[in-house]
Amino acid sequence: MSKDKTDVLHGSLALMVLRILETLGPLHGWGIARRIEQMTDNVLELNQGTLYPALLRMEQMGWVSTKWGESENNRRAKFYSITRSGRKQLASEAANWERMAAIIARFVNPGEIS
Amino acid sequence: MTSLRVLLSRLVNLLRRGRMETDLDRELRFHLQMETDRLLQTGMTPEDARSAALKRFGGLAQTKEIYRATGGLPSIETILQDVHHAARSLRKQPGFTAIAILTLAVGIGANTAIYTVLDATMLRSLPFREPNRLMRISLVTPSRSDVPINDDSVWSYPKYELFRKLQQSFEDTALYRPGTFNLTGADDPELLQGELVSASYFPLLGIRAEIGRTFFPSEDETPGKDFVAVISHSLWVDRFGADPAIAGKTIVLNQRNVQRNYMVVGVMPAGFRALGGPADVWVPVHTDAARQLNEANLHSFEQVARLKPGVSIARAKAEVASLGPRIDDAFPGPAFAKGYGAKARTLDEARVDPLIRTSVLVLFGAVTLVLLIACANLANLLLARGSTRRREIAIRFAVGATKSRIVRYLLTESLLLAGLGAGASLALAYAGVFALNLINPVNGSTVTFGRRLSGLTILGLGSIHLDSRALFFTLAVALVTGVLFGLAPAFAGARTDVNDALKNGSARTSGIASFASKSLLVIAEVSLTMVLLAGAGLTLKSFERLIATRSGVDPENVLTVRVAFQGTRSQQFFDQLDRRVAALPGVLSAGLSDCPVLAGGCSSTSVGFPDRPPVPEDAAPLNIGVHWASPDYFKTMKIPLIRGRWFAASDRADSPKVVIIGETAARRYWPGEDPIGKPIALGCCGFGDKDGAVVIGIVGDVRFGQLDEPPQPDAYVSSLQSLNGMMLFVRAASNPLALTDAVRAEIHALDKDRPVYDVKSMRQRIADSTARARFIAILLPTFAAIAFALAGIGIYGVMSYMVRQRIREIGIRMALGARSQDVRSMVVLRAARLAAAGIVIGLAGALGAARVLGTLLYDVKPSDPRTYLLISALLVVLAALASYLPARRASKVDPCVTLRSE
Repeated sequence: MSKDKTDVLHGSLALMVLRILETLGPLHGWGIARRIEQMTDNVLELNQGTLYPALLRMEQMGWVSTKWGESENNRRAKFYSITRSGRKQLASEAANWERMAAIIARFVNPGEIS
Repeated sequence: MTSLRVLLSRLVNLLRRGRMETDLDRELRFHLQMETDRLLQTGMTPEDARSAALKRFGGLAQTKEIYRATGGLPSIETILQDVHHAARSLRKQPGFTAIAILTLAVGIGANTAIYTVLDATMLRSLPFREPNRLMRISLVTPSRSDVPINDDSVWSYPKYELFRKLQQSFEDTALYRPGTFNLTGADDPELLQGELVSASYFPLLGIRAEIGRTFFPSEDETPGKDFVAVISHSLWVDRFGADPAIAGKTIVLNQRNVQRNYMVVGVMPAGFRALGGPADVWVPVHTDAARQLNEANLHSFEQVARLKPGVSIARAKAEVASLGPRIDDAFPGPAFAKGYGAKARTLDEARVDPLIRTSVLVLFGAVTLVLLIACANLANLLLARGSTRRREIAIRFAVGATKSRIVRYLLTESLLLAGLGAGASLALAYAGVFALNLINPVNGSTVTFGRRLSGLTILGLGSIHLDSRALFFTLAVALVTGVLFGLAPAFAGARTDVNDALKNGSARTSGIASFASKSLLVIAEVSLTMVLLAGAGLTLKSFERLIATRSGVDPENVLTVRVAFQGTRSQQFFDQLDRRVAALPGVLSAGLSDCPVLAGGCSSTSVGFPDRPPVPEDAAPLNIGVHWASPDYFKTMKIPLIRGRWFAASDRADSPKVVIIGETAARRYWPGEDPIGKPIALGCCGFGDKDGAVVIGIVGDVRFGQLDEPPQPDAYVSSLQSLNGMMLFVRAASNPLALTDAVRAEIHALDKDRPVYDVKSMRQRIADSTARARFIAILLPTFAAIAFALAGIGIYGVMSYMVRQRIREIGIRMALGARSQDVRSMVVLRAARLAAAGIVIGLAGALGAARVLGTLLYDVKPSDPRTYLLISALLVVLAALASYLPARRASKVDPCVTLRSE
């Protein structure tokens, strides 16, 4: 149903998740969701649910690894941490994103085209 | 690399599916608790916090669905699930399922059965090394006013030799010519079908001997020097007890009345069939007499060649065509024998008689139409079913199924149906193949040595069977069918509006649009049926005319037996034979002639008239069929004498030569004259210019060629004055086949070394001669009948659906005073209108399709108006009948009940 939406999000969602895990270390799903909401000042209307299939996909790709552990309030939670190939992916994704942003910026700022 | 990793992880998940589910549940529960806790701290009540958390999460069920889709193997897992659901839903409606499977079984079964014929005649590759590099090289006969051009004619040895020397396109070329051999020895004499072949024949085909060797080139260089033979596997087993030391042994063969010892040098592998049909013995071409090989205008050999690597078929064809005139120029000859060309075609093009090819293709087209009609019916059934299932589908949507998932589920159902139908169709196809073998169009011609169908049909047919290729075909058809009839209903299902369907529940809303699509399906069905009916009608009419055509003889209770001509003292033998057989109990009369009716391939020769001015040297000779008949032959076959007299026992070798002619010959060669007593000269058999032959009688015409060919001019000479290969005709008082043993014994009492073969009743021979026409005259109407029935079911289904949909409207009409007969005619007229639309569209298609049929029709025009009128009427009647029951149901509607019920 909401497939189109998640498809669009997939690319950037992975980038956000990987960056969060890189800076904050191992984190559970809810923690990641909250962090995204905080970082985007709740501007991005994220259906928290869409996060989980994305996480599974990233696990399948080998970018994150998982481990069950205790949460801050002593509940069993699944923790995600970034792997080596996840870091590599993050680096190349980030570079991609910057290049893309630079290109888009030229169009947004028409004065520079000539 | 990554995708492999994903696949592995998915496979692991599939194996520990339960574990994945509980993990996911725990993880999501944890998430919701954390979110709820967080919201509680903002001052919400527990209930509000809980529902806000759920809302922020988005659809829990959808998430799980997507998660499962990502985690598991959707292809395997959901398919199993879909198949399971589909099977359950099909079981719930056994009536619907049975009709669907039966429809499919008929449609697919007919396709598989005809596919086996197509495969055997055209598709299966020929059993030679690289068969697609093999080509058949033919001569093209000169254009003449009285004889049509034959572009697949045979070679003379000198022309072949020249061709072989000039050509650049082929690695090698080979010659072959069918012949009959009388094998004598310790056992009963046996007449063998064989081939004279060039030494290059076996290497070119890529066939090695199973035992021993094939021919050395040196054994095929000098006429009448080396008498060597290769024999078939079955002859080796049956006649020589699979003797491992057969190579080097001697056998006695009689060919063209010359008896010789041949040394066996090799045995062919089992199952090898020669290019000229089944054969048991092969000898080199040069065992033939020198005069057979030196005469440039004695055409009797067929030629096959293997392309050089890198040479295209088109280039080879062009080269052969350009060599034609050069070869023709190289040999002197009378003007009428000049102007030959040459033509090459691939062995695949040449393998099947063009008429049989057309028949098989027409039938394949017909079964495809039947299958399409079956698909239309099923699509209709599924659409009707779909509208009653909107609730079920809406619920699936509501609990998180995606559109593609619904389409996949509905398609799975269609494919499951198609699979079940295909399974059931195999039983039908098996029966069909059995029946096809019984009416195999080449059955008749595999045994007649005199004539064969053109092409290499015999190679393929006779081996129609269900094999792995046919099974694969069935599978493919089932798949295509399932998608074809399932796609529209599946997408219609996926368009279901959840709210609307759940609120209304009934099937009311989608009515108009889907009735339109159903009407279109009915129109399509009727028009396809029209095409099939037209084909069937024309074929039946043509066949009816064919079998009503008189052959010119009375075939009732006649036994026909071939007696080998090869032998000693033939004249005495045959002189006594018919008299001795006529004396057998149960025999009314017996006669001899060289050639049966309707078999083709009888001898013909030139005819001249010594009492007229001589024709110029260069003029093409006039042709006449020539037959050697004993005095009692005409009486035995009941050929009527029109004028003059019969042959008499007194017309002997030393008395004046006498000739009887047929009516067509009398009309054509003596227009406005009385031929009786006129001199005649034949180009054969000692009846030349100076022999003083005279016409003594005129008999009724006999069709020696085929039933659908008009009688040709024919002449008969007395077997007491001249002799050729002979056949015995016996008129019995009752069942002629019962006389077989007595006749055989009588023949062997006269000469124990003379094989008797090809024993058949005259009725059987006539049936054989119409085998091809009957093949299509049985099958096409059968398929048309199936299509007709399916179209009837289709119309019935749609009209019932319409009545159900419009029951309210009908109720209102009746409340307003419509009489039940108005309602009835409304429904029937509606059906008739659909049928009429189908007929109009079908007419265009039918006229087009009939043109393809044209070459198969006898005495019927493809546009025969009466046929089209009749089948149009039939279809209208069908529509009226099929809609009558729904119409009656509509007219029984009680306005009070229907109006209250909604």
